[in-house]
Amino acid sequence: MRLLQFGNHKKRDIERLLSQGLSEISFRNLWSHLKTCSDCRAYYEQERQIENVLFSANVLNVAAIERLASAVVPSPSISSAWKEWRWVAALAPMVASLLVMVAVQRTPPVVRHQESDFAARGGLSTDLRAGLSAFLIEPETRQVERLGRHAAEIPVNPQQIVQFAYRNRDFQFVEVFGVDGNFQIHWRPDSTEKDGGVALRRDVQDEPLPSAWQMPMSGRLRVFGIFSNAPIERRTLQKAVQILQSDKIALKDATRLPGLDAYQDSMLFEVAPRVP
Amino acid sequence: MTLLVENRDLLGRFRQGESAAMMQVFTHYAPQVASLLRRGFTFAAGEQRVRFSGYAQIFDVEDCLQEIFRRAFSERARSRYDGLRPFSSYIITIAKNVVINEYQVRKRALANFHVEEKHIDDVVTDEWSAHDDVLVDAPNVPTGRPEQDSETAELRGLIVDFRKTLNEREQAVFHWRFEESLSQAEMETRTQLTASKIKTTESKIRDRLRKFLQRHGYLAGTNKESGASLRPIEGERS
Repeated sequence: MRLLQFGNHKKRDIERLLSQGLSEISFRNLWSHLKTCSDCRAYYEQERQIENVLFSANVLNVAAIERLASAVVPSPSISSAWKEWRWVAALAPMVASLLVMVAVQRTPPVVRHQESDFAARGGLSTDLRAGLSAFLIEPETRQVERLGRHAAEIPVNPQQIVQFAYRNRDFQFVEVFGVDGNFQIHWRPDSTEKDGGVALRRDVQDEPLPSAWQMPMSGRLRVFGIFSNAPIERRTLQKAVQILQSDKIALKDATRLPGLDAYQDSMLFEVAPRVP
Repeated sequence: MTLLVENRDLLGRFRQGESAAMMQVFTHYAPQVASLLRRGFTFAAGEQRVRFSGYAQIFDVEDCLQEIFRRAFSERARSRYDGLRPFSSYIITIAKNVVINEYQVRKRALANFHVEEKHIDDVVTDEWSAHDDVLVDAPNVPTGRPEQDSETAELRGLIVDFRKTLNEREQAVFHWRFEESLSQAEMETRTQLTASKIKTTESKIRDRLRKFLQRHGYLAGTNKESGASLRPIEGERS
């Protein structure tokens, strides 16, 4: 047989694209590479033909359509999201004088559910399915900045407003809350005891959550996003935090809550001391 | 193909640039545009009639498809669509313009090159035909060419044999994903498997099919210029 030797090139990325999917940026990078690399293009062609055999399809099969649609249809842009959020910053001085953690309601936030069973799917490792992002709003200048996740701890000032957003492919709910260094839980500003989380939109990127935050304390705060297809009970989350505390897991290491069979994402913040 | 004409709510959301509406429009029209890009079309360029014989590689089809829909989904293009005529006509016009633009760019680039008349016989005039591919392009339609139809039938037989090698979970994924063409989200509901298990199983099926086809003499050679081929290599089939 005369098998092509593809070396390293982007073979793995191609396989991952076809079987798992790639993030928007990775897809763009791979596609640019394919335009210039005939070896990888030939490999892509081969893999796509196998896929078409599997689907008994013409040029496009359902998986290819899903991939291309994601590449073509723009995600709700962050710039347009800013237009919606700017007024949050305008309220900042008033908000700052209020509670420790303050909600700035944007829309009626949640769908209330009576069901109490927490039936989240678990063990998913891909980061494409859902996740949190955060944006900083300077109260005075009203400038907005995406908070990078490369730093171990994201520095913020207590007077700054943090707007959380999410990406989501197909989950129905997310619960977002913070845990500080004393393992005290700081619930999402607009949450109520039994709301079960924020009802999510599907196939979105950087979709703002209903409330913006001012950090409630100084020091470390890890903000968790728990994604699920069923309403999420507070007591389930409280139990998970208790395990965290009893196991004496430091916040910097607690990227996931233990004992939770749910898709999770988290971000660690370092909140600067308050200046009187 | 009158999706947007008949569904005014969808049209409104599409014009506003709602992602879900654009997804729906893409899913509906992409196969039709891809088919055009594959089979080609004839257009007038000045006094000449030019035949675009279609893209042979899937990559080229998909690349051009992205460009076409990016243009069609731009704010300007969305607002220009009147919602009265079929969107298929609108998108096909954009598709042809994209291809014709590419032709004009290439023509300008080749302006200093001419084929000498006495060697004109050397120029290949064959056009690509969907019938040239085994299974890839016309999987369910006999081509009328006995050799190719028998190859297609052989590939189908191999897929049937391959399917028998799958375990129960793989059979389920194969059925819902590849035979019923369900999305991965729909499959989660149908199979009660998690998304990661579905993806892992699908990935294994692809790997095993690749090896299975190779064992039977397919995918044995790949041409960098013309792309991969599912054609069997003579004498290497078992």
